[in-house]
Amino acid sequence: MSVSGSGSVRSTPFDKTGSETVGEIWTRFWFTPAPLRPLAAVRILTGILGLLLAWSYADDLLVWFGPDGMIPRDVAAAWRPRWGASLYDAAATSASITALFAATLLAFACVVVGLCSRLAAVAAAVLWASLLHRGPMLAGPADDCLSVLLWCLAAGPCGGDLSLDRVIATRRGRVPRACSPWAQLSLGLLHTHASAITLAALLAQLKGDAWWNGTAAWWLASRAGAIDLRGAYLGSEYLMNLVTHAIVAFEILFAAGIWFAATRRTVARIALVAWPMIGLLAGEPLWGLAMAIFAVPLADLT
Amino acid sequence: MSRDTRADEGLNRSDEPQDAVRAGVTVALAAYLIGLVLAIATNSMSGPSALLGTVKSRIFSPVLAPAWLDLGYDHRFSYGLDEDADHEIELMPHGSDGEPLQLPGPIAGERSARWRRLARTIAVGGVDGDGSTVAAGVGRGGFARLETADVDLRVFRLPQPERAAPASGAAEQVYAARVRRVADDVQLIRDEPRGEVAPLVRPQPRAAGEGSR
Repeated sequence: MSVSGSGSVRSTPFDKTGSETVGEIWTRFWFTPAPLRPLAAVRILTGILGLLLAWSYADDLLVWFGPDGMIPRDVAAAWRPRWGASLYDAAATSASITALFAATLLAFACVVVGLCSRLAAVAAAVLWASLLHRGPMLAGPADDCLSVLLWCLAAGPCGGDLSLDRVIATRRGRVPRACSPWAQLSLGLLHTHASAITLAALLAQLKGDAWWNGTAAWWLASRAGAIDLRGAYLGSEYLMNLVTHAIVAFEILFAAGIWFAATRRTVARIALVAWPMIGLLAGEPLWGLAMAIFAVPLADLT
Repeated sequence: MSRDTRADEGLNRSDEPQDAVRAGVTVALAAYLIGLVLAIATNSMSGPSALLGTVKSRIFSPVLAPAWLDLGYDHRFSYGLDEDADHEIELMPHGSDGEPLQLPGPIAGERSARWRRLARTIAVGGVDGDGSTVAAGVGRGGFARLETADVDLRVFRLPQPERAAPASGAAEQVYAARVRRVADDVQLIRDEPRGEVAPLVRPQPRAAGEGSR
């Protein structure tokens, strides 16, 4: 594997060179120093996604979680998993709930600009999980992906490039790093989750007849927020079938293709366009954006 | 990696993890990856196996669940089933014929999607039961907005017409309840279809030749 400048060529366990042992493959995948810029790009995009998703709570925050809100704390507690917990449980007044929410937005803003980046990523991940646990029945697929992205960022030096942290460090006379093995750890986690999440979604979809008989695209177009292509599907059943099968085929391609050097970059670049399109077709545009963010470091754009 | 290469990349020797740190991270990574697989396997719509569910809940859930990582990622979007349709909530003062408060109403985007998920939760319920506890909370939350302590709550499933009959279908009421405050208690009185409360039992016709006792 080579690393140079801000470029990125990630290796995977399947890019076997020579006669490596399992331990060497593991070390190469998780600990080879990697450039910081791809992780920085993920940080900025994740922060923007976080602001968008958090903002969707803003207008109804007190309507849902306020002292006389529609989702009382005991109801939320009954619906969350056994070990789930929320900082909002300790917030009994409108002011304290609003303050916690403002802290969440602030943490996401710090993630975007790269100020105290790693701390901001951890804070954003904790506050985001708290917000989701406060109303688990409101959470959607994009929220799940954002949570994963934040924890992956927290594992590495996400503020090492394209950040205020780097500007401040340079002004203080510190030589900024271009690579880090901890960046590789973060990128490895993003890589693994990109494949795992796609595979899990694919398996869930293939349990339903609609994804086999080609009608899923019709049902997706019926959903609020989705691009309504039902007029086009009425005109051509083949088009409806094609869109359905194309989504499934792409998910198979992405889940497997990002593990091989020969296909990784091409598949990831296709994914930068395909995931947002699937998100729009499915009525989950922010989920599409989240999945595209997973593909950014694999696309080797720099 | 040669020393020159290391210098070119701005990588100090102190940046590289020591063997002990690397070993610790390896153990943590391996444990996490097992947890990830178990979380996906046990959070599917098919339900968890007893063995995997127990292993995950005892060892991994205490770490994964608070971080919102105990997830199945089963983002299927739609099978075309009734429960996959969009749902909406309607609130109005009990017995009123006025304009109801519709949620999400005209708003769009992710904010609208959260309201629809809430409505769907009431209609479909969850793993641990039906959505009446959520309905009671939503009804109670509507007291202030409707300036009354007695509201009617209804959840509608929006039409999801098939391709063969695209113009058919109307919003279907799938949940209805009256939520009121009596003293300091919130009561939910569910309006259940009669057929569910007392299913009709039709007498079986007697077989020929069967006499009465």
